[in-house]
Amino acid sequence: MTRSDIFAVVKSNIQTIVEEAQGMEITEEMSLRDLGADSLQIVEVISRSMKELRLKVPRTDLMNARDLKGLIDLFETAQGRSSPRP
Amino acid sequence: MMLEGMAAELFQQSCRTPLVPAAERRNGPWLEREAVEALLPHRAPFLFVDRITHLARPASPQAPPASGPPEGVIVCRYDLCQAASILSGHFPGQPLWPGVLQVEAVGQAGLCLLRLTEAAPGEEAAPPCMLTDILAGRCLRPVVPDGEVEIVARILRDGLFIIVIGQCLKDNLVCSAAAVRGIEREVRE
Repeated sequence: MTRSDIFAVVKSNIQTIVEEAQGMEITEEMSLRDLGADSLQIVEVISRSMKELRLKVPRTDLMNARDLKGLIDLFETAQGRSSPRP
Repeated sequence: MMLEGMAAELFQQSCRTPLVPAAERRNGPWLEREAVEALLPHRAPFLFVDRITHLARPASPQAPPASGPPEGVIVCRYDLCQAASILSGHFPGQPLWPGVLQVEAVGQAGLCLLRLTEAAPGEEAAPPCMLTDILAGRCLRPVVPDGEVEIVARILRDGLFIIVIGQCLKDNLVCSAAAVRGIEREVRE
């Protein structure tokens, strides 16, 4: 899955969960707080995205993600860890 | 948020029949009040677990067996004598243990199970949890205040969330079933 695919999953979940973000243009430089998400919505977006992407990311790492770029970076790294090696 | 898949099935089962047969609900390991207070921050009059009478550790919380004895389950007991002050007002002359407190009791039992079974290596207990959603609840029989109520709970992982599904039993009859969801405190903070 490409970075763009991962971002599409995260954006879709933001649009579903965060009412204020509906119709907004979402970029990687934004944070979930910028988009109007409360603390529970942030957990919901991350949780649903991880489930959809079948990824596991340590909670301590998730807390360090400052914006969507940081979150996508973590998901990309986790995807690399979980991919079968040739 | 709706209950889906295995969580929905387990909730329906919780409404119909005891999740653990009566003979197994007393076979330990027994943990008394002091041990319960080490697991939960709640205290009287809002602690609804007096002791734990059965504990089975999950092989995998996300993939319990489709049949056979339930895994990852806890059975707790609460003496309704302790709820006297609440029962005096709910209702005067016709005391009933409130359904909302039965939901809370299921949550507390689930938290005990989580803390006893999902501690990380080197930790005595898993981190505490915060309630985020009451997903489902059904009151099936009134709980009148004599003797003890048994609280049975199971946990399922749902991404970063933990779902607790359980029931309150009296005289081996299902009085209520509940499904609640929470997250570990450190995730939300």
